[in-house]
Amino acid sequence: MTANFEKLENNEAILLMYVFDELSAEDRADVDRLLLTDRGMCAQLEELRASEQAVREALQAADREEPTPVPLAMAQRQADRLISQWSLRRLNESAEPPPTKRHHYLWLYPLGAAAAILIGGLVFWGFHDGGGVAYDPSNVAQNAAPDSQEFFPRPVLSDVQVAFLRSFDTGDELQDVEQQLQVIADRREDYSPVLSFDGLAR
Amino acid sequence: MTVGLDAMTDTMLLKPEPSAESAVSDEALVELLRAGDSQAGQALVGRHSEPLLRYLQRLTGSAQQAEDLHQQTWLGVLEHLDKFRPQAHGSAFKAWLFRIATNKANDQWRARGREETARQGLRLVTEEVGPDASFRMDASEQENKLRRAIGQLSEQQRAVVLLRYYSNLKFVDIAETLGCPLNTALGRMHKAIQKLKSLME
Repeated sequence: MTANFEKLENNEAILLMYVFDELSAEDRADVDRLLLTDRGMCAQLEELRASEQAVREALQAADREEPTPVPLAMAQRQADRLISQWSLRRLNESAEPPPTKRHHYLWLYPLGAAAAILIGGLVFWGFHDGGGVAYDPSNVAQNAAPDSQEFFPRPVLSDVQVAFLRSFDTGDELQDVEQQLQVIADRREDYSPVLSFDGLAR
Repeated sequence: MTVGLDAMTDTMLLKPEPSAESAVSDEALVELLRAGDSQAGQALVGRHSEPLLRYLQRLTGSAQQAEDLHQQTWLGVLEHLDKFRPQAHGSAFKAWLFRIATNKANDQWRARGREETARQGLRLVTEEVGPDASFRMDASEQENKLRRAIGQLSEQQRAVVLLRYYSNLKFVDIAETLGCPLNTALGRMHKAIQKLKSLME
């Protein structure tokens, strides 16, 4: 017995499948054996077959007499037109270049934020630790005219900057940097005599 | 006692498809249509239009509705063509086509049911009942009897009977198409056949 046959719940279902020839050869043979012994089932089959035949013949007769709702050729033309339009539209769609996909590099946002914090931190660090000697006017009044170098302060390295450079273990480089800073300070003095505080004090 | 397959096909409503046309399966034609071959689509229409039209004509009982639904069905096929997945058995496209047609008819019934309710309300006021538009005066008595008998079946019974006779699908496919168990489909078929016979006598 096949799986489909086992699913059938009653004689009506089995006989319908039998009449419409939808049983497997094996199941059909089983039903044939049953029909040989079961008179009730046999009568049921005959009744079902007669009813099925009556319905089928009535439908066939009606179809012969009644034309299709719309001439078949016209119905086919309508459907063909739909298909042609659809094919054309599909062809046009495939010919169009695909829309450019906008990439959203989401990972750039946290990276940008981190870079902004780092730059902000460096600027803050530069102003607070490496700002050099601040100008104090009281010193000007009380003390003798200060050396111009003090008012065009030599850029000096803060302790943190020194520690940072030392962390690379570059003693020579540190010396070089200090020398270069000295050169820059000297040049400032040379090129901006008008701004020299000596002149202002006088 | 047994009924041979040849005897059945001789008496079937629909003649078996010619072998030349059947050489290319429906599923292969669908693939060609997907690739942009509109002639493959036309071949599918040529193969299934008549049974589909007849099915819709009997299902709705109206020539106008059958024509509309026929077009809507093919439109539905085209809209969902990319979703169609051929199955192992041979009648996959036909089952799918008739399922679309049945769903379209159901949608129309629902819409018509709302209209009918409104019309009945109006009828109570006017008391004028016109003849059914689908009623053909020149149709034979037998034909009108059949139409009336089909009209007295429940929607589910009508769908099973007409699918079996016009689409030639097997009951297993019909059950799948209608979304019901095999036994339910067979029960509906049995009741429908008995009812039709008694109504036409």
